[in-house]
Amino acid sequence: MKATPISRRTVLKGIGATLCLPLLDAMRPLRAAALDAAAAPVRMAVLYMPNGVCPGAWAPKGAGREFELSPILEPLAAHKDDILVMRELWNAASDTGDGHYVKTGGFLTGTTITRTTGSDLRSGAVSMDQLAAKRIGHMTRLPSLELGVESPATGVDTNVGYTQLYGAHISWSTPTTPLTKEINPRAAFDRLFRSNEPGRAGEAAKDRSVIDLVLEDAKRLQRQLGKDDRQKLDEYLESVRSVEQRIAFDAKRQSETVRSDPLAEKAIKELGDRVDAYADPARVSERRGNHTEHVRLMLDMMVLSFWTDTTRISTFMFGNAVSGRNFSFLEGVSGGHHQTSHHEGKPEKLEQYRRINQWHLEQFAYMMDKMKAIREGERTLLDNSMLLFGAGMHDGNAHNPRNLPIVLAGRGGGTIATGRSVAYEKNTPLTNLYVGMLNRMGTPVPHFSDSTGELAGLGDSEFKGVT
Amino acid sequence: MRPRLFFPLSIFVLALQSVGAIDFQKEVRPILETYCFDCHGGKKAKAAVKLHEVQDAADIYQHAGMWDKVLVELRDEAMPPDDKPQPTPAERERLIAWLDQTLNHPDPTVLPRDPGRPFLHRLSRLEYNNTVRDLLGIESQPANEFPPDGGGGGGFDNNSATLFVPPVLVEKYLAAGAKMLAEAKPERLFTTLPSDAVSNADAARKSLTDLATRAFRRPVEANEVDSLLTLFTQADATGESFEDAVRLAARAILVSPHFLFRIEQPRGAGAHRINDFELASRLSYFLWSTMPDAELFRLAGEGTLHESAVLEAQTSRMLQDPKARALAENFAGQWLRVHELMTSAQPDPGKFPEFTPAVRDAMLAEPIEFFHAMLREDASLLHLLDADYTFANETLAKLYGLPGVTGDAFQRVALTDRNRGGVATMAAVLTLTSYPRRTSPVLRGKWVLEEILGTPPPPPPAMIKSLPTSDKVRNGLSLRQQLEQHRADASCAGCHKRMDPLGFGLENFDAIGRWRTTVAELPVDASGEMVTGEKFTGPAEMKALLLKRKDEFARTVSEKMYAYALARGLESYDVPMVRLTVKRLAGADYKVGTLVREIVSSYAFQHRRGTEPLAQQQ
Repeated sequence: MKATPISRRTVLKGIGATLCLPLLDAMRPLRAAALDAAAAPVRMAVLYMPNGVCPGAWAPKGAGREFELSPILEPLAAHKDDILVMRELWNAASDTGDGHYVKTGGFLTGTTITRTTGSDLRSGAVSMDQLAAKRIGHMTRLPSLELGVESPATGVDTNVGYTQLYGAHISWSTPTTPLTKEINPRAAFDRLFRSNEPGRAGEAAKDRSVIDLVLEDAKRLQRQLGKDDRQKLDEYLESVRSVEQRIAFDAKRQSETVRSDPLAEKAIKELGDRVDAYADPARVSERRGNHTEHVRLMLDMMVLSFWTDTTRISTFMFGNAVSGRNFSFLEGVSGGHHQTSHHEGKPEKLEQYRRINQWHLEQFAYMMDKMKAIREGERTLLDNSMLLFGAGMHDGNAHNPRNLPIVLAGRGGGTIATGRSVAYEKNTPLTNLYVGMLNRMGTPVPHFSDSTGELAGLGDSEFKGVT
Repeated sequence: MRPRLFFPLSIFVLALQSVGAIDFQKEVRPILETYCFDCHGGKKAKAAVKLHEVQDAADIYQHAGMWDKVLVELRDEAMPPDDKPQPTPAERERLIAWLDQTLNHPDPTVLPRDPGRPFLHRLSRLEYNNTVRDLLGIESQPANEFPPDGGGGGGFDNNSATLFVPPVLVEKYLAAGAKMLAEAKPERLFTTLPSDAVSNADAARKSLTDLATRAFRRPVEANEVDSLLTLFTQADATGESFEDAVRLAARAILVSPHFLFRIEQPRGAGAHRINDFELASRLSYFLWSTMPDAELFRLAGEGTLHESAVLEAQTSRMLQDPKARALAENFAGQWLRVHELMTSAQPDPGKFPEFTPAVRDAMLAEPIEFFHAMLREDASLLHLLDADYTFANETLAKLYGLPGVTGDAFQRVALTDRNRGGVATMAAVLTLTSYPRRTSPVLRGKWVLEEILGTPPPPPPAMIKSLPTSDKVRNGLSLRQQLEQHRADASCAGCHKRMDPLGFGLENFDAIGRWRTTVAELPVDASGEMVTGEKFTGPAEMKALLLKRKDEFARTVSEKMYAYALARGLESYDVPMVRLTVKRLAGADYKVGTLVREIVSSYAFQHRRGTEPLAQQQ
C-alpha cells in the first residue's frame, strides 16, 4: 500500500494545518499559468447523493489502513489509497421533521430547516461551503460553483409540509437564501470558460458602466422601501456587487498577459465540444437516455474549474431529495430511485438499490481519475483537494440521519492521511468534519453549528477510531 | 397603536363571537369543553387535534382545515365516539351552526384586513420571457437559459418569497440584455430619431423615456432619464453610433431593479390600496404572465382602472385575449404539474415503448388546451371534475382510442364514453401518479384527495411498507389484493381507506393513461367504497360521486388560484375571503370567470401592507 510519506506529515504537524506547503517544483507543466507564482491552493467539493444507501452494503470491513471496500464502495478500488471512509458521523439537527427535506436542506449547515410551504424559507445558517467562499472567494474568478442535474420542483410536498425547494439546495449564502444550482451543462460551461474570452474585454467595460448606474439606482430605491421589501433588494444588490467584482477580476487577469496552460486549454476545448454535442437540439432523444454523460459533464467542469483556479469551492447534487429518477438504464434495475430506496428488506429491491448507489460511486471514481491525472508539482490535483461524497441519511427505508455514509477523497494539500476507514464514536457530529475541512481551506473556524471540535485523526495515518 | 387599523379588526372579532346570535365564549366553548377537551385538549390531544387552543373565534381561521374536519365529524355524528358522553341534539346543532357560519358564511363587511407580507416580486423566468417579448418584440425566450426558479407558497413558481436573485442570474441578465437589444425591433427602441430638428441627445431622451416607461410599467421621473442619458453621452462621446449609444443606456434599463422586480412603492406605514399602475401589473401578470398592454396602461394613467366597472370589463377583455393562455399554462399546468412529464415522469421504456416524446408532449398540452377553452367560454369549474369533451390531437386520440382525429393540432373532441373526461382521467395526471412500471392506486387516490378535495392525507410513518415495482400477481394476490392486505394493518388503514378506493376507481387506466380492462391477465376491478359508504363500480360512477362534493372542489381550486394570483401562500387571514368566494361561486354555477373576477376584486389583490409589519401596528 502506498502511504503518505511520514516526513511530509511531520513537517505539516510542525507548521499547522491551515497553511499550504509551498511548491518549489520548477517544472509544474500542467498548472494554469496564473497560479505558477503561488503555492497550489487547497480545493473543496461536496457531492451530495439523495435517498441514502443500501443498508449492510456501505460500511467497509476493518479499520485504519487495513480495510476492505464494501460492495457500494467497490468502484473506488483503484483509489483506495486516496480515500478516507468515516463511519458513525451524524447530523443531529436533521433528526426531526421529515425523511428527506431536513436532511438535504440542512446537510451543509448542520441546522434544522424551518418547516414551511414557502413564505419563511430558512435553513438557519450559512452552509459550510459558502462560509469558505465568503472568506477566500475573492481570490478566484468565481467565489464558488454550484452544479446539479435536476431542476428544483416548484411544488410543496404536502405530505410533510415542506416546500420542495429545500430538497434542491445544499448551499446557502445566507440563512434565508439558497444558492441556485446550474443544471444546464452548456450554460455552466459558457459561464466558466467562454464569458471571459479576450474578445469580450470591451463588453466587460460596458457591463461595468451599466452596473455602476444600476447600483446607484438600486441604492436610491432601497431607501424608499419597507423592511420586508428590502430583503429581496438586498439580495439583488449583493449579487450585482459580486458580478462587479468578477468583471474587475477578469479585467485584471487579462491585463496580466496570462500565459495559458496548453494542456488545460486543450481539456477545456474538448469539454466544450462534448457540451455542445450534448446540447445539440438534434440529439434530444439521445440526451434523455444519457444521464451518466450529463453527470460527467458537470463533474468535468468542477475538475477544470479547480485546475484553472476558476474557483476553489464547489457543490454538486446527484439529484434532489426524494428523486424518483428512473435508473432502469442500469442492468437489473427496474424502478425509480426513491421508490427503490424503500426496499422493505426484500432482496431483489436491495440489490437494485445497491446497484444505484454503486453507479454514484462510479461517477465519483471518474472524477477522481481525472483529478489524479493532473499534476501540480509533486502532487496531483486530487492531492490538493478534499472531495466530500455523502448522503443525508443512511438507510433510505428508515430515513435515519445517524451513521451517515461519508467518504472523503484527496489529501487536502497533504494534510489528510487517506487510505483508511475510521469508525468514530457513535453520533459524532458531521460538522466536526466540516470544521476540519474549513481549517484546511485557510478559513479556520473555532466551531460550526453543533460541532465539538475538529474531527479527530484526519491527518494521522495510524488513527483507526474506536475499534 | 393606529386606531384606523385596530378598529375594523376589533369589530371583526366581536362580530364573529356573536355570529348568528350565537356567542362563542358563552354558548360554544362550554360545549367543546364538556364533550371534546378530554381527548382533544391539553398536551396529549389525540390525532393532533387541539381544540382547546381556540380562544376567540378568529383562531378558527388559524386551523381552518382542522375545523372543516371537525364540522364533518359533528355532522356525521362520528364524534364524540359512541362510548363517550354525547352532546344533546340542541347542543350539537348550535355547534354545527356556529362553525358552519364562521367557516363558510363569513360576513363580508367584517373580513380581516391584511393583504399579506409583501416581497419584491422578481419576474419569474416565464414572466421575463413574456415581458421582453411584449417590450422588445423578440421571441427568443432568453430566460430559458436562466437557472430554474424554485417554487413554494401555493405550489407555483411565481411565489414572490422564493424567487431569489443569485449572482449567476445577474450575470445572465447582463448577457441577455445586450443580446436582446441587438435583436429588438428598432421601432420599439428608437421612438424618435435624430434629425435636423431633433438633436441626438433629445432623440435619445425621448426614446429612453418611452422604453423605460414601458419597462418599469409606470411613468418615469426626469432624474431617472437623466441618469440613463449619462450612459448615452458616454458612448456618444467615444464615437458610437446613435443606435449603439441608446442601446448601452437601454442595457441599464434591462438590469434595473425597476424592470426586474414588480416594485410597489409603500405609501405610509399602514396597509393601503396600490395605485393603478401597480394594479395594472398585478392584473396582467395574473392573467397574462406579462406586462400590461397599452389599454391597461392608458386606464392606469387616467386613474380609472380600479373602478369596479372598468376593472370588470378589463378582466373580461383580458380573458378573451390569446395571452390568457398563459393563465392556463402556468396556473393549470403547474397545479397539475404537467411539466414533470418532461423530468420526473419516467415510464419504463421497455414496458411502455408507446410513451414517445410526441405522446408526452400531447399529454402535456391536453389540460392546458382544456383550461384555456374553459377561460374563453367561461365554463363551469366542475368541468375539471367531469366533462363530455376534451382536447386532443391525433397522437393523443390514438392513445385514448378516439376515432376521427387527425393532425398535430389540438381540437375539441366529444367524449361519448363518460369514463374519460375531467382532469383526473387525463393521461398527464394518470402518468404522473404512476410508477415507471405500474399504476399506483395509492398515489392516484392521494392525488384526488389533495388536488380535487383539498384534504391531503397526513404523511406516512417513517418505516413505511412499500409495494412491488410491477403489477405481477404475487403469492396468488393481484396488486389490488396486496394493497387491501396492506390496509388490514390498523396503523395504515386510517389513511389508506380514504386514499386507495379513489385510486381503485381509476384502475381502468394504465400507467400511461390508456383504457384497459385487464391487468396482469386478470379483469380490472375498478370498484370501490368511499369512507362515506358510497359505492361505485368504475371511473364514471366515481366521478359522479366526486361531483356531489362541489364546494370542496371549488374551495380547492379557489385556494390555488388565489395563491397564484397573489403570488404567495395563503395565510389564516385569507380564509374568510376564500370561503366567501366559494359561496358566491355556488350561486354563479361555479363559473371560472366568476372566480377570476372575485380574486381581482378582493381586498388582498388591491392592497398591500405599508412599511411596518402589520403586527407592530396593532
